[in-house]
Amino acid sequence: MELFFFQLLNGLGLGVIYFLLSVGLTITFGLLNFVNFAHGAFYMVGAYVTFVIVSLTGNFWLALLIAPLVIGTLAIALEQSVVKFSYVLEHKYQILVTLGVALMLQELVIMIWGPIGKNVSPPSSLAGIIEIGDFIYPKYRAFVIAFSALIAIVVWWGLEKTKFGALVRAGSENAQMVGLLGVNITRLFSITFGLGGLLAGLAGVLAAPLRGADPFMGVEALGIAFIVVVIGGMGSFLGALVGGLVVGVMQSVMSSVWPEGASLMVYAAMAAVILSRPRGLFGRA
Amino acid sequence: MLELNSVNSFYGKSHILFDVNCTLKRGEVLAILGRNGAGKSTLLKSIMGLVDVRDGSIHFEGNELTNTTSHRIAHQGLCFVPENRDIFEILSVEENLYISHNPASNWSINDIYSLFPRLKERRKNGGGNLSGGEQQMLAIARALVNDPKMLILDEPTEGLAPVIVEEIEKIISNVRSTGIPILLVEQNISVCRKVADKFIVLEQGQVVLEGSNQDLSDQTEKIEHYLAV
Ligand SMILES: Nc1ncnc2c1ncn2[C@@H]1O[C@H](COP(=O)(O)OP(=O)(O)OP(=O)(O)O)[C@@H](O)[C@H]1O
Ligand SMILES: [Mg+2]
Repeated sequence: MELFFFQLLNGLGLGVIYFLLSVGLTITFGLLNFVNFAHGAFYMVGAYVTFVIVSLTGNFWLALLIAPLVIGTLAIALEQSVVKFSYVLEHKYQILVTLGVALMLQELVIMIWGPIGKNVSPPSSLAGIIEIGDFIYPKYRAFVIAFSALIAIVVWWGLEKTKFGALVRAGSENAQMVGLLGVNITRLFSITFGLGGLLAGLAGVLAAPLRGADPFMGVEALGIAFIVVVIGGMGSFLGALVGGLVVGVMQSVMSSVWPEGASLMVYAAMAAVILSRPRGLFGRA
Repeated sequence: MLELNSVNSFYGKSHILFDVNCTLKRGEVLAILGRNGAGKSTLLKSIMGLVDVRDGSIHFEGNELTNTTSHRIAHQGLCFVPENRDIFEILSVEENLYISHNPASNWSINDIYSLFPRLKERRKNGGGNLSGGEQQMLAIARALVNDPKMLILDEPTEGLAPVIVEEIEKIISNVRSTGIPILLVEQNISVCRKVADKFIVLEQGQVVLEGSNQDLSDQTEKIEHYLAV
């Protein structure tokens, strides 16, 4: 029972990271109808930037502050230089273009740090465990859950309660009409893309002390993010949250019950959702 | 204020507008009439930068609008209410107004609510849950809070009940009295008689008739001939 609870919490922690990873992908898809295969690379580079900052300064908090900004800037630079020219292309070409970018980033990381992963240690203040009665849980994992939940609330607030968020939602329904209100839709696109990248980078920062940084984590993350988005529904914030938690908890709980079947179950869940609700749990028709 | 000089517009290879000229001054309402497919919406979209204008020029307060992006055109104060209203269905009524609201506008969101009490009642409703009349009100309201220097309305009374048509006529006269000019595509001659200062009739993308408000009554037969299917 306690093991189950432990795995459930681990799953939540994994799930909130998956949420951060996927929310940018789903919002940019909703707003731009753009398929970004470079999204996982933001996560991977986020983990490497964390590795660099932590090895140079020993300060994880600095990484938590700076790495997402670095990745957000990288995402905007990418949007301005490559992505914005492919909005008008068919999805298959968008995939080719962004897959190319993802592979370039991956190879670049391999050239600099080699193909073997790097370890990142959690900040010393979060190194131990917390005890609640008999129950013990790693401090860092508890921090990840709390911090990501906070970020999820901030993202929700930004989307639902601010003018910028209302414009993003309006733009995902009818971008042309948003432009007709005098809003620079091109700029709205690139800021949104940058914020989505920033959140994926943040997911990479939080994941680094849990699983290290390695060049192939981006590809893996991309796969997971797409599963989350398909389960939750393209373009939906709530979908990314629920989808992320479902996938995270499923993977974590399964890994102690039936490790070989963990991925299988996730794919089965995705298939079940596609069959019963082709637009995902919270997707709009 | 607005000046169109032999405008020629295209959708891809199809040439839709041919040498269209018209002008609009402060406080004027210009009605654009013409049968279905005559090019009325295309004319409005040409002004808003949504259609390819290959020849001719469009100026607003001396600024060239031709081949400018639509957000820049809108930013200059040309507020467009499209034919299908394009209300954001996933936003509430209030959010539809809020994202458009410009503090410089003569109309605050509260002014809108006293002008359209119905929108106030439904302010928490989703834009997708409104009736046709409410959607039209909201679309006009959304343009008014955007700080219009000019209002561009595409068939605002189409398919609406007579009481609502009257309400829209009132709003148009109200806006006109503040000095804001209005470009109005309207198939209903009686609405035009009540609100328009002058009119043009389009046929197959060309201006075939123009005149004053008086001519709308004097030349009814001629105009109806152009509108008849
Ligand atoms: N997106 C488009 N692509 C190609 N042709 C178009 C497009 N939109 C309109 N047209 C054509 O342009 C011509 C003018 O259309 P427009 O919509 O301007 O007519 P309208 O006068 O507004 O008609 P209605 O009264 O039905 O609204 C029509 O022949 C129409 O078929
Ligand atoms: Mg039309």
